Amino acid sequence: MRGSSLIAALALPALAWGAARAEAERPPYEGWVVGLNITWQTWDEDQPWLKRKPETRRAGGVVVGENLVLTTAEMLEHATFVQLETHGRSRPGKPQIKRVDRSANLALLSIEGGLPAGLAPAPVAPRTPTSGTLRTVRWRGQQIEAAASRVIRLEVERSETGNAQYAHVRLRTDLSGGGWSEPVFDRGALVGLTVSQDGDESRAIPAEILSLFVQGPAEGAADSLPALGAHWQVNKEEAVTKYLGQEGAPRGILIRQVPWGSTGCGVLQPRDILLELDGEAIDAEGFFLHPWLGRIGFHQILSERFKPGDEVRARVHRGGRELDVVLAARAYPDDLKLIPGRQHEPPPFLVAGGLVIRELDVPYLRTWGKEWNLDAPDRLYSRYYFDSEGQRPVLRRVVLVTAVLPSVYTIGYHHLRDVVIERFNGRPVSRLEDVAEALESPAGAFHVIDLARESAMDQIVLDAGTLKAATGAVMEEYGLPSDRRMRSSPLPAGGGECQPEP
Amino acid sequence: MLRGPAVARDIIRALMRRLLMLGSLILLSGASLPAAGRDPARSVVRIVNHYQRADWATPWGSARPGESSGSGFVIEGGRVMTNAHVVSDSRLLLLYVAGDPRPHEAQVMQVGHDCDLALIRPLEPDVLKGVPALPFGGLPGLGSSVDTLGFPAGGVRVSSTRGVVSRIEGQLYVHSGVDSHLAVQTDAAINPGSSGGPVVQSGRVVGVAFQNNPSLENVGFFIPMEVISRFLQDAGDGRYDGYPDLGAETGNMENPSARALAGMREGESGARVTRIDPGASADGILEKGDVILAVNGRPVANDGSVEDDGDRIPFGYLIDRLFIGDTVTLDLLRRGERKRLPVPLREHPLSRSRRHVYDEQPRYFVYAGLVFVPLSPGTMQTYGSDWARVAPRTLLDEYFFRVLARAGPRPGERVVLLRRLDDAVNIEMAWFLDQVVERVNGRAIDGLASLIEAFEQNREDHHVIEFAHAGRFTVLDRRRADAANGGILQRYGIHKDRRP
Repeated sequence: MRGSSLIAALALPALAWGAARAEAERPPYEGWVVGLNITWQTWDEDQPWLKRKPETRRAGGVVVGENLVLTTAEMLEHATFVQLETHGRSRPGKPQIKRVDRSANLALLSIEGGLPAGLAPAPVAPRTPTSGTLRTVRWRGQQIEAAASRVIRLEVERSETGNAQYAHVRLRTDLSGGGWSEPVFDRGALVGLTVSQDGDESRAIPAEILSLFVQGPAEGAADSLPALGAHWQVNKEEAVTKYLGQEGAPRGILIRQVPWGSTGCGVLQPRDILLELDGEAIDAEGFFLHPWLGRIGFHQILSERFKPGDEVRARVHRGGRELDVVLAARAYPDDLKLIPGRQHEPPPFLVAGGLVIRELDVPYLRTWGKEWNLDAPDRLYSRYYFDSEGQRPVLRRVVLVTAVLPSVYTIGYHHLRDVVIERFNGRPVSRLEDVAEALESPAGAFHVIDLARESAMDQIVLDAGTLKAATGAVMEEYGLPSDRRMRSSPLPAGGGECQPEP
Repeated sequence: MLRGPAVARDIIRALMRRLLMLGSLILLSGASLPAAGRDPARSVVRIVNHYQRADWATPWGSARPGESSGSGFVIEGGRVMTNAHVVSDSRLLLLYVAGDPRPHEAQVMQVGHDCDLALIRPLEPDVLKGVPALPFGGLPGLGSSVDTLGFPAGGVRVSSTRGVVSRIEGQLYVHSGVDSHLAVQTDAAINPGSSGGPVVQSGRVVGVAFQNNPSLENVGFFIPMEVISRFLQDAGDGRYDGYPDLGAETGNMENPSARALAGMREGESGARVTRIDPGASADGILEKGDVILAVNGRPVANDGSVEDDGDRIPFGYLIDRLFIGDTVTLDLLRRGERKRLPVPLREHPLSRSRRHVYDEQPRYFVYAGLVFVPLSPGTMQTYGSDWARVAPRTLLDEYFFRVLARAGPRPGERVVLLRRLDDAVNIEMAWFLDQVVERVNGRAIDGLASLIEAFEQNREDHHVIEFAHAGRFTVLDRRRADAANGGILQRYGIHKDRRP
């Protein structure tokens, strides 16, 4: 009954919050705030069978349950080892990742053997303050730093690790070099967790999202926040609204495109004007009037009130009249994208006779350096840029031959780099699994790989009879431990068939 | 040989990095004294070009006039040969002949921007009387000495520098930006102002100096006789037509499995046709997957090369030596069957729209403050010298890749919304800068002319402009737009709303 003990644990701090407020003394941050020393290691995206050198990062965390520490999901990316720290030294107990929610960018750690003595759950405030001075808190050596952080504004922004959008608190802070998941407090209650800092301006996940997450299930890796996922534009242009038949002043937002698998797929259509969500009127710039946050981006309605699977009432203007529709709230996880961010999984790959085959994703594009958006090959980057146009239920991934490990077997193909596979032995390729299956059924004596039209070469032909031996020889020569790493779980289903563009 | 658009993308990116280094050799603003020289220097002339370039960012205007100076040499027929880039965008062309201090106005007779060569002549009939015409030679041998004559670095007396031929191979001609022909590298110091000057061996012209690489010391390039002769022959009928192109991309057949699958015999070699450009010479004759075994009877190796005078060159250079209207005979292997097919040669359908544009003013249409232009190299260059890297993704993708996917005898011209001239009629528009226009008022746009028609023939209350990506569209109130149009043109100093 881990769930009920968690609720109990949360209830107590909430009651204690009033008491904490009453105290003029500095709140007992030492008992709430922890440091996390995280060793992490990414994959070598060019040679996906290898890992790069391990690195470490220090992040903040806050105790939120009997044996639970809250931090951001981003801080635990690629973690290989996590240590809990207070007072400038590591504490006993081994943190284990219990739950990760990439839509909210939050994670919970439990401490094997229980929380060290002296640590206790911090109270979580029910609401995020919209003004005033808060405290951003972290361990710096043996001391707690509690830096003044003034609320500048709340702004709906995309989660650092997912597609959900929710109000982030923007703070002007005295803390230097923050943005590493430091907890933010207001009069003794947790109101935020930082996700970034640029100069003296930091951003934090607000209390509302922290509470939603903490109250969720005890374990797992599900996305709890839905995302609209549709492409839209402001609707300020009277010529446009008149053309679409909307009367009066422009209001609502203009839907341009509804990607497969997104909330609204199958219901919203291009050139709909989305007027209301859950009874809240959306203005022509995409804002609504939040009861305590004020005029704020409409995505907050989805992230604050709904979870994936819920039905969301909406009102749209379509073809000259208004109608009520029901949307299916979906998390729109990154895995639905044609070119995913893939921050949490190792890169799937397959080596066949020296051809290094993998799926195109953002970590691979990033191998072109800091300005990868300019320096990556255009034929690859364009697929990322126009991702939502290419994404279809039948095309889940773009599969590439990234390089060829040279051997006599692949002579003539050694110069090939980053060419897109369209068909393998006559079968359309839309994920790495298709290549693995196609390898089992060669076209007669050959494996025939048809490449996308932008490549100078349009076909790779390999001898099927000697492929296995050639792969073995290449693995031996180039030191590959395995010829493949396939995806650990199947790609998620998107759900919904979306309307084509008019 | 015109590079295929997909390949051109990578080449242009590489070229952009090199462009700052690899410069054409005209000298901006030269001095004005004529040269006196000895034979063959007596035949070398200085050319001063008062030019005015197009301004693609504000296509209704022009850039400020400028002056550049280059070199040329007298050939038979009272003509002067020089580089195309020496005489491009000319408003006034002046010629200085050895021993004559007077400037003589000249006119361009023929220009080949694809091979960076031009023929000019003085307007007055007797200016070149008594100036000996230089005879032409052949291809200088590797390691042999050549003299480059011209007016480098602003000198007023003809200069001669001696160098050794260090390399002969295909190279991109920077003036056009997309054409690649044979070029000769020499270690003679070639400096700005030398452009168009003759490269001489044993009293005969063996090349025309045209570009260098300032990042390398004492390296210059000249156009060899093969390219010069072809230009003269092409221009012989009074009109220069340019290079034909097969319009087919090929890949190697070096892998034995690829050869076996194609049904090639032991010892047979060739190159596989991997793409055919719509509307090009090969369209309708070659098929994807054909293996080209021989070109005009000359066997093609598995790497796509042919033997040429003891050397190997890509087979495309054989087609470079032919003319538009000629026929090339290809031996093919198609689905196991051997065929010999004649291919009538024409210009590549994309060559004019991908080559740098000279001697032309940009085309445009301005309506309700929206500036529409064709997608062209000039448009792309408005994003700076590094445009192939930093131009908007929508345009780069369209320019290099989507064009390949469109079939048809002529790939339609794509039109871009380049700029908005702010006005009450357009200021609330969701902004679609740098977007390709797909449809206007329901009509598919395949050129500036169709866009203008689509606006002007519309009688509905609204103009609906749809863009190429992600369902973007915008709407103008037609009556308001019509009413605002004249005032916008006047306020922004645009004399004409179009150059179609």
